Amino acid sequence: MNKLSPEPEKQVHKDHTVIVPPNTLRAKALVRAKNGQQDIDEMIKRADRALEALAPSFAEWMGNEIHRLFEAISTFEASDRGPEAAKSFFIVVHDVRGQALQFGYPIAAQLAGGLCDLLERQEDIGLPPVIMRRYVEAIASIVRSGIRDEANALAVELARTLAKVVADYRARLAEGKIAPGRG
Amino acid sequence: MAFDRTRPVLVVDDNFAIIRIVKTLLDSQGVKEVDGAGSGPEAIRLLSKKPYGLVICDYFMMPMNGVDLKAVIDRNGTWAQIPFLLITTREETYDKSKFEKAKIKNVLLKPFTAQSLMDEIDRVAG
Repeated sequence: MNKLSPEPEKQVHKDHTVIVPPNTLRAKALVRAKNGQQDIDEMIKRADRALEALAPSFAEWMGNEIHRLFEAISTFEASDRGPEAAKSFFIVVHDVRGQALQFGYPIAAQLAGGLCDLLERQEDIGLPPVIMRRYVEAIASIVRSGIRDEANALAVELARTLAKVVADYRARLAEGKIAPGRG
Repeated sequence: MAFDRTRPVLVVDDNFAIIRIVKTLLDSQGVKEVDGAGSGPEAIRLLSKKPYGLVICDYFMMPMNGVDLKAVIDRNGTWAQIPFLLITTREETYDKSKFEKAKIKNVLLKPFTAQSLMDEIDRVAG
C-alpha cells in the first residue's frame, strides 16, 4: 500500500456505512520535506523571497518604532524620572533595538543598546534626560536617513559623539563636579 | 525540515511586525495555520482554544516575558508537550542560566533569517 494513499476507514453501521477519507496532509508535508537537500534549498529560497517581499515595509515599521520612541522620551521627561518611569522607557528602547536589528539598522540598534545599558544603570548614574533625548534623536536620524551601513560616516560620528557626551558626564559625576541628573 | 506543517503554530510577540515576518516565513513553508498573540496573557487564551503544534515566542515582553510564559505552559500537562522556541536579542543570551532553568533549549537570535528560523524550528519541532 502506498504510504500516501492509505485505505479509507469504514465504519459499518446497521443501515449505512461511513467512509472516513484518510488525512494525508501530514504525510505529504513530511515526505515533501524529506526529499533531500534540493527541496530544503528550494524551501529556504521560497522563504527568502517571502521575506524580501516584506522588505519595503521595514522602513515604515521602523518609522512607527521611532514615533513610539519619541513618545516614550516625552513621557519620561514629563514624569518623576524614577525607577518605574525609567523602566517604562527602557522597554520601548529595548523594543527599538530588537526591531532595528531585525530590520537591518545595525548602528541604530547599537545606539539603542547603549541607551538600554545606561537606563539599566540609571539609579546609579542618573543620566540627564537631555542626553537620553540626544540618543533618541540620533537613532531617529539614522533610521530616517535610511542608514543601514555600519561604516556610514554620519552614523559613526553620531555614535562617537554620544559616547563622548556620556563619558564626559560620567567623568564629571565621578569627580563630584555635578550631581546625578544634571548634564 | 520535517516539522508537522498541518498543526497550527502560535507566534507571540508584542511587535506586530515580527509576528508578520514569522507568519510570512511559515506560510511560505506550507504551514497551514499561524496565529499571532501580542502578549503572554493573549497567548494563554489562544492556547486554551486550539491544539498548537509549536509556540514561537519573543523573550522581552510585558507584563509576562517569554520565560514566564514557558513556565505557565509547563504547568499545564497538555501544553507542556508543545515545542517552544524563544526569540531574543544576542545580549540577553549571555545569561543562559535563566533559559536553562526554564527548560528552554532552543533560542533564536535576532536578527534572524529565513534559514536560521527554519533551522531552529526543525531542531525544536522536527
